[in-house]
Amino acid sequence: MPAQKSPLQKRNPQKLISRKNRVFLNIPYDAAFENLLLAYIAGISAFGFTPRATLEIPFSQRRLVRIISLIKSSQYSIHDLSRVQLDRTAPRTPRFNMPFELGLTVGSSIPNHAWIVCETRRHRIKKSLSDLDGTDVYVHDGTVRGVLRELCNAFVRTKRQPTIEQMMQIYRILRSRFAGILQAAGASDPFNARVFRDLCVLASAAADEIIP
Amino acid sequence: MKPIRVNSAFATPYDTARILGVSRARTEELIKLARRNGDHTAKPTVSSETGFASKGSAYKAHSIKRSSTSVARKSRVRNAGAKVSTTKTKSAKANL
Repeated sequence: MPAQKSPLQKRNPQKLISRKNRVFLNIPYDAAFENLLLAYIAGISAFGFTPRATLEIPFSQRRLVRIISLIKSSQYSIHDLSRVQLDRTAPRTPRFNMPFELGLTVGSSIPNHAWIVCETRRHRIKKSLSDLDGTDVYVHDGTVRGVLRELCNAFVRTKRQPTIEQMMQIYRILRSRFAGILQAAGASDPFNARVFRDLCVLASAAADEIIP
Repeated sequence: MKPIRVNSAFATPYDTARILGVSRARTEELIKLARRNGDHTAKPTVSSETGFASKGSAYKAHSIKRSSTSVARKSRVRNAGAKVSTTKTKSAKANL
């Protein structure tokens, strides 16, 4: 007698299978972070993963519920806590979304979910979030190459392990097609759902071509 | 630091498109874009981490054949391509 399928599997059999390749990306959405967003998409795709981000979620009352479900539907999550300073627009405030989403991830205790924390500056997290003492933090120095290097330090593939140069190649492809993708979406920055999706599919196609 | 070992299957662009809800037609377009780019990967500019130039901008200067009497110079205008100057070289002037 075949094993009974859960209601979730009955509705969408693909949903449980593909959870393995999903990475929840928790990063600041500001213009200064544009290059690093492309670097994260390139690096994550180079490992054969699919990036997910709250950019995909439309603003609504149920946003928090959907953020939690997005985290739960991913096997890994990357939390970049680089933006701890006050922003420029009045009233000047720090950004709480990234540490909040890290808290949601840790607090949800999702089975088989691994999370990593990234920062721009070494030792700063000891001051900004001392509760993470004893947790390894990946410091990327705020550069594209730094992000790719730290992703290589964080993940190791048994097959199709990408090199930094291959990841840089994917990043260059994203860079060179970036203006066209923005234009097609009628957007001025990459922090919107359509641009993010296009960039992820483009990066995945490039990774499939470049990484043997 | 102990890295996370990954042995799951590599996601194809179709997997990614399905998860993110990108249409089939758009996926095909993006795959074509990635393949076309693979033929001539953009070359890095001086600030290689921030932007990339397409073929034929700053690199044009290296591809221009130098003759004994003309010199290839990069224009001082920002982002302008190289142009061949008709200025004679010192030795060419001497031979006149």
